[in-house]
Formats: sequence, structure tokens, C-alpha cells
Amino acid sequence: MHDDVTDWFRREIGEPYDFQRRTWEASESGRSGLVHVPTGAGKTYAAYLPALSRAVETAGERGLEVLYVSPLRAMTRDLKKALSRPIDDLGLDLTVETRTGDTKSSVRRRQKSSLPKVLLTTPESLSLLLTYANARDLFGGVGTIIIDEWHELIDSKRGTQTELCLARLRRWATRDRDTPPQTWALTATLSNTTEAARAACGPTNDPLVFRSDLDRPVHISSALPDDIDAFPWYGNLGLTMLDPVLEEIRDGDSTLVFTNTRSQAERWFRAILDARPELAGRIGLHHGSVDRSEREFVEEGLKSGDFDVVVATSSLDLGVDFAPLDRVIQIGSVKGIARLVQRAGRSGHRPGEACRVLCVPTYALQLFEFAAARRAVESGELEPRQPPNKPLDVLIQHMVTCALGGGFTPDALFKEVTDTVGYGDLTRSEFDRALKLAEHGGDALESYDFYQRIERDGERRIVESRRTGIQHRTTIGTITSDPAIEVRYTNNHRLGTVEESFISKVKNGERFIFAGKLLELVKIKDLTAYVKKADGSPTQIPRWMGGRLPISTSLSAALRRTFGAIRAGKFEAPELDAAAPILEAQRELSGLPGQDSTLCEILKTDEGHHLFVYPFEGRLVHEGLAALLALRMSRHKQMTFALSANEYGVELLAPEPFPWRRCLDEDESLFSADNLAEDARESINMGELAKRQFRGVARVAGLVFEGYPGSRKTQSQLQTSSGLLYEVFRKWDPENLLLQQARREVLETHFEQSRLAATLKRISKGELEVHDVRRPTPLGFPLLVERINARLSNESLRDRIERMKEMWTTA
Amino acid sequence: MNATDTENTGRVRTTIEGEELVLLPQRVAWWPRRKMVLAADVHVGKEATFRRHGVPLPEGGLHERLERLTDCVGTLQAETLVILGDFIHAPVGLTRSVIDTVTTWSNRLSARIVVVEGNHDRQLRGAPSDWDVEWRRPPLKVDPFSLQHDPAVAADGYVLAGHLHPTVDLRQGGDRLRLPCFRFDSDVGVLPAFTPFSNGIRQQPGNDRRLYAITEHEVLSVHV
Repeated sequence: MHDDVTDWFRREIGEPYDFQRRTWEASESGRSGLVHVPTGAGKTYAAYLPALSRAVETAGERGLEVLYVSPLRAMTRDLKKALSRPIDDLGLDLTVETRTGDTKSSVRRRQKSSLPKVLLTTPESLSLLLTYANARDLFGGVGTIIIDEWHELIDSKRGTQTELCLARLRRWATRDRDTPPQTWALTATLSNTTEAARAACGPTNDPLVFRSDLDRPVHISSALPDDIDAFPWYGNLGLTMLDPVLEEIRDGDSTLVFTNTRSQAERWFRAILDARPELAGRIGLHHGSVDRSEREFVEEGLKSGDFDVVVATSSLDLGVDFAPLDRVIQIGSVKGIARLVQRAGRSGHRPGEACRVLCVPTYALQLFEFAAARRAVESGELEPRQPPNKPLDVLIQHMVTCALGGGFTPDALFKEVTDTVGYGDLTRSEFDRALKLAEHGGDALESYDFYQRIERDGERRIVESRRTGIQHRTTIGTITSDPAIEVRYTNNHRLGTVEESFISKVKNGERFIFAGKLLELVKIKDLTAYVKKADGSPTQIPRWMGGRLPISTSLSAALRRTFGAIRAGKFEAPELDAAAPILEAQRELSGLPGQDSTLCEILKTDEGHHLFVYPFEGRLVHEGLAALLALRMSRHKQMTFALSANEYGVELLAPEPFPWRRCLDEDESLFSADNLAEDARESINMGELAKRQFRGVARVAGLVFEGYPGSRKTQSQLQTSSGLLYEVFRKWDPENLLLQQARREVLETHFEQSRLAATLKRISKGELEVHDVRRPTPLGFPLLVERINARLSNESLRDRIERMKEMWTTA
Repeated sequence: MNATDTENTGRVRTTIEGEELVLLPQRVAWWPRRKMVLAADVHVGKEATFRRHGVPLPEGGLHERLERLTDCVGTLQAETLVILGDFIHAPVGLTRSVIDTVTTWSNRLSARIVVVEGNHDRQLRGAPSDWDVEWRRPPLKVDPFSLQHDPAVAADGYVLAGHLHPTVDLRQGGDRLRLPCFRFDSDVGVLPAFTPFSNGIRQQPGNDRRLYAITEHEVLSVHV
């Protein structure tokens, strides 16, 4: 590496860690790889300095040398400073620029014809740049690609999108330079490092993996309710534990309060400020819907130490660098082991120093989750993060990107996309069908009269329609969410965005909390909600979609082991003492879940006839299990079941008496792993899981637009729901690839056969402990409350109506 | 009743302003005295509109929808078919093949076809010349009814309208079904959307309100 650069590092940062030195050496010898170290340990310079050093050597030449991809827009500002720092200090003649959704249009225009030496961007903006007709000229010379916080991307379709873009850059750069560009992925907190490295660097690039030994001890404690009997059995917004949180916020100390959802953040921010009005001006709110300038203000306040308290969601989980904080508080479920470790890592931000987090429950069962998380962290467990397997919706989007970005020939593109982990086993016929869909809309051409996205120019596939280009560029990406509505004061000052599904429930004149302020809705016009400041108490709390992140599978399993240990009397923790009455209620009403047995509960309420089963395998597997159980139960008696699933278990609700106990006692096949594949398919077709999954698939593949460019008239003409589209496809093009994709995603995520099979085997090896309960138990209560909107029925529509008719209609 | 008995099951007879109306599960209303079939919100060319705007939606629904209208007219031996607005979805969706399909259908249909303009139809200035339909500005007065698209109270006559795509929810013990419905209030009656490809607006029960849910084969009076 260039001596100046090394000297700069020693002077400004200090003696390099071993992992940094090893990464520098590997990079100099042209290798690619993955650096796996805790947050804040200095990953960025490990990968960036050798790249910078090479950039110095090509300083005279034009064109991109270093591409730095970061998953979050919010991170790019700080990263840009970090990337510019050695350049400025050394007086190098190199430009660093950012390209995100926030980039000014003048800069965008310039970047269209020439890129800086160092470009910092996000996966979505990278895809967008690849749609320019001269994309190859822009990116052909790239020497080093760095992907930051790869663990945040790898297990989502955003990761798949990144993989596809990188495969394209690898092919271009190899042809232009004879050597592939180096790729370095930076990651914290995942267990499948080799797979992650291959996904980032290309499966054929023989990537290296460097880990650091800088792991810091993590101390996890829980705020314990004084009166557990008065503590709620379920709820995520409750402020019951406000007092212990206020106690933790001490004068002169900096405190970061992490919440899981934006509504929770709004609520806690407001409550803390109401209780401690003297904090005004020194307390900030940070979440993804708060306006960017407001967020930046909070980030600055964190860095400068002007803020004593910041209430945040995962919008602050990544990258935003700030000085070590004195305290980190986690409100509600910790969701995942790695996530908790990462959040705790925000305290005592120096390598080697212990980090601490106080977990605050919003309902009783979370106490057990905290205890389980601590056990898991202590035994060094982490979640793997696996890349999705060949999602065709992302592939179709990428095909349109490539067709716009200079065009492609199918043979070359096939070769290119199969040089990824995500599409490594894509067959040519799958590829061709996806291409056909991108070209014409579907297999049955006559059904897709007047539709054409990708056109042909000999062998090449291109896009000629200007409208297709505009449409594609506005909808690029794989993040699917509700259409966003801007929130502005009547004087037009912007406050941020909320999801349409929330604001449509607020009536004019009603009050709600947003951006930490109490507001009254004045009117909604042109995708903007106009508000004014209000007094009094809120009538509504905004709920945003992404609020239901499931807890990780590893954590669910840790919870199962913890309950097993509790039952066996082999586990002690302060949380258990505090929650003793809950355990007692569970034991008295039903029983405690055991390590080797599976607890089932039968309950009758006004709502109907319930069966609860608690395997503790995580929400995704439980959703699959619920559908499977419903199907197998319905073979005994025709029925329509309402299904519910959460981290702990599943609930089946029948509107009429159902012989639960007899089925559980006598039907060996209920939890059998035999015929799993067939039954899974059947329950997908009968149930509603595929319909829900289709929502995301349809958006990524360009079937549903949000924020559609063009006139409002067009928008009203295209108003529909993905559910309706699903029905249209199912009726008129049942073999459509995107329907198949939705079904496949359900199979993979909810019925992931190896995991569901393992779960079934585990359940059938042990005993079923079936209890009749007279009222909902602490374990069952959350399932009753948060019922997912899913049903499975083998009754005919006519029978269902007949049954309801008795209650609702007279002939 | 004669041989059509089986076909008649599932229909509901109701009286409005002294006139007998028969509600059919085919999502139309039949007015025997005037030999008139009423339907609302057909949305011809909706799928093609989506395709024109870059959403690859398969065609297929149009033929089925028009055939359903033909069947109703034939079975009931209707003389007039009145569309209570939104016969078409958008001008851009009227592709050659959509226009031709409607031309053939309208010329073959034994009944006279009257379209009372709805908000979607207004984007088109009159029907394509080959269509054998009368294109009328609302309201169309046929005593004692005011036939129109917009379900707004009219000064002279009970309103029969469309536009809302009304639906009703049936629930029991965790089971829920959303069904299209007819809705009759004291001054206004709203027909269900004839097209199945549409999102509906859920109707709440009310005092002076009668709701009739539509299942595959029958119309049910819903009492709450």
C-alpha cells in the first residue's frame, strides 16, 4: 500500500489491528473477501485504504475507481466524511461523490455522463445507474467494490438485487481490465460467513474471510416490573415501565432508547418529554418517517453531545457513527440475538470495552425472551443470514434494468446472472420464461395484447419506450411498503411521511402524534396530509406497516430451551423471579412448555373453538405449521379455520365445535413429516398465504405502482389491490410465473421443508401435552390478540355462507 | 313458475316505490314491468388499461362479463339493458380488440342497450360508432326511478345508481367473507359492480337500509 496512506492511518487513527493489516495485504495481492468484525472496529478503512492507494496511482485517468455500496441512505453522509478524510488530509486530487435518492438533480445529470473516482451509493441507486444507456462506460473501469453492512442486505431481495448488479460489474470490468474488480464485503454479526463472502464477491472468486477477535463482553439486564400482576399479558405500546426508564435517564449521561416500531418511538418520546419537560431541546426522535433534515439534526446532536436522550428505531441501528453513549435501552422484544448485540454495542463504543443494554418489557412474556437472549449471547449464538433462492421477480426487474442500460443478449445475461449465489442453480428454461414475462407480460401472448416492456433488436433485448423507462426508474428496488403520504403543516413545512393505510383511518379534525408532535389533521390533498399543531390528547397513534418484525428463529429456539430449563427447575434469572406469578398462572391454567414435549391448549370462547400449539420455532415456520395443521384437521371434519401464528406457537379457531382432542389423540399423521411436500402445496392453494406473498412479488416485478408518475387521472385508472390482481391472474393466467413465485416463496419461507420437517419430527418424537383451559393462558393470550388475517377452508363457499346465514341473515 | 324454477332460485324479489324489482346473483336487477335489466360498473377494457400503462395483466374477463349480460337478457327476455354508468374503464383501454368485442356483442344482443354515463364514461365523448348502444347523460328518468351513476339523492324519483361497488362483510367465529351487495336506502338504491375485478366499498348496516349479499348462486337478504 502507498506509504503516504499507511503513514496517514498510523498518524490519524493509530496502530492497525491485525484484521486491518491482513485485509490490506490481501487486497494488495488482488484478492476479494469478507471482513467480519463488530460495529465500530474500523471495517471501512480496512477495505478502503488499499483501494484508495490504487486510486492514487490512477489519479490522472478519468472514471470510477472505487464503488462503495451502503444499505442506508442515512449512513452515506458520515461515510462520505470518512472516505474523504484521508484524501483531504493528504491533499490528493480525487473526488468523492454520493449518489442516493436524495442527490440533487444537477449532480445526477453530471453523474449520468461521468462518475467520480470514489462513488458512494445504495443498492437501489446502483440499479438505477445501471439503467443508463452508457452504464458500461461509466462502470467498466471500476477497480474495487466495497459493500458495507452486508449482513443487512444479504438475506433480503435487496441483497439479491445487489448480487445481480455486482455480477454485471464483474463481467464488464473483467472484459475492460482483464482482471475482475476486487470486492470486499464488510459485515457484523452473522454466522454463515463463507456463504456471505461468496454472495458478495462472486461464487467463483475464492473469497477470503477475515474475523477480528475484538468481541466485547455484552451485559444484558432487564427492567423488572414491581407488580407483575398488574403488568399486561400482551401489548407493544404500553408505557407501564416508564418509571424505570426515566430512572435510567440521568443528568449528564447520554442515553439511546431503541424501540421496535415507529409508533412505539413516537409514544415513548412523547411520554419521556411529558414526564421530564426540562429535557426539551436535549431529547431527539429518530425514525425512518421523520423528515431527513430533522433526522440529520438529531444525528448531529448525538455526535456533538448536545442531546442527552434520543429515541430511535432501527433507523439508527446502522452506520451512523457517534461517540460511545453511556446507556442503551431496548424497549420491547429484542427480536434477534445479533440485533441485540449490535444495539448494545452502541454503548461503550471502544473496541474491547464492555457494552451494556437495559431491556424493558412491554408485556410479561418478554421477560422470558430477555432471559433467553442473555443465555444465547453468553453461549455465543448468532443467526445465519441466508440469501433468497432465485427470486424471479427480482430477476425480471433486473432484466428491464439491463435492457435499458445498453441492452443485453440472453446468452450473455444468463451466464452473468448464474454467476451469483442467488441464481447459481437457475435453469435456462426458468431464465427464458422470466425473460418472456419481462418482454410480453406472460406465456399466453394473446392474453397480453398491447403489452410490451422489453423489445428485440436482433438478438439484443432493449427498451425503446420512454414511458417504460420512466416507470421502471421510479419503481426500481425491492423494498415493498404502503404508498407514503407526506405530512406538512398548512404553511407547507414538511414533517415527514406516513403510510397511506394509517392516515386514511384518521378523520379530519382528529389528533395524532407524529414526529414527536401532537397534530390535528386538516385535510388530505394530492398525497399530502396537511396538519396543524394541536392540544389535548391524541385520538390516533400512527401505525406503520413494517412494525411486525418476527423474532429470529434462533431466539425462538433459545426461548424453548429456556422454558424447558425453567420447567426442569434448572434455570435461574432475575426475570424469572419477577415473572413468577405469570409462570404460576400458566402452570395453574394449563402447564409449562417442556423441552421434549409440546404443549397444546383447547379453549372455548364467545369467538369460537380454539386450539393452541406451542412449538417455539419462530413465526415463519409457525405460519406454515398453522396452515398444515388446519389442512390435516379439516380432513376429519369440513371446516373453515382462522389461523394465527406468532413466535411461540399457533392458534386454530373454528366457528363451530371441533373434535380437537380426538384428532390430537388419534391422528398420528397430524404432526407427521410424511407427505409434507404434497400437504404444503395443498394448504398453500387453499389458504391465503400465497395471496399475501403475492403482494411483494407483484410490486417488485412492476405490477403494482406506488407514487406512479404522471397525472392523477392515470392513478385513479390504475387503482387496485394486489389481492385483486392475484385473483385476476389466478383465474385468467393460473400458470403465471409470478403466481408460481409467490407460492414458491411461501413454500420456502413458511414451509421451509427441512425446518418444518425437523419441527414435525421433534414434535412427534415427544409427547403432546393437551390441556383444556377455561380461559386464555399467558402463552395463548398474544395469539388471540394479534390474529393474522389468514384462513384456510375446505368448506364450499355455499356451506360457509349457510353457516353464517344462521347468525346473520334471514331468508 | 315453470321450467325456469331452478334458475329462479337464489333471486330475491323486493318492492321499491311500489315497483317490483328482482335481484339476481348475476349482479343485475330485473324490473319486470318495464322488461328492463339494470347493471352498473362493467368497466370494459380495465385489463387493457393496465397493460397500456405497463402492468401486464391478462385479458380474459371481458368475454365472460359480456356473456353474462347476454344470458341475463336472454333468460329474462328483457327488452332493455340499462347500464348505470362506468360501462368503460378508460379510453386508453379501448384497444382494437376490446372495441371489436363490444361491437359484436352489442349488435347481437336482442335488447336495446342504454348507457347512462358515469365518471369513467365521461372521458369518452360518446360511444364508438360501431357500438349499438345509446349513450345518455344522467339522469335517465323512467318513472318512478331516476337512473344514474352517482348515488346522490334526486329531487324527482327514487335513485338507482352504481359507482360505489358496494360490498358487505359476513363474519362468524374468526371466519369472514366479503361479498358484493345491493344496497337500498330510503331514497337511493345502489347496485353491485358488475365486474368482479374491482375493490368494493364496505357498507355498514343501518336503520333505513336494506343490504342483499351476493354469493355465487344466490342473493341473500342480510339482517344485522
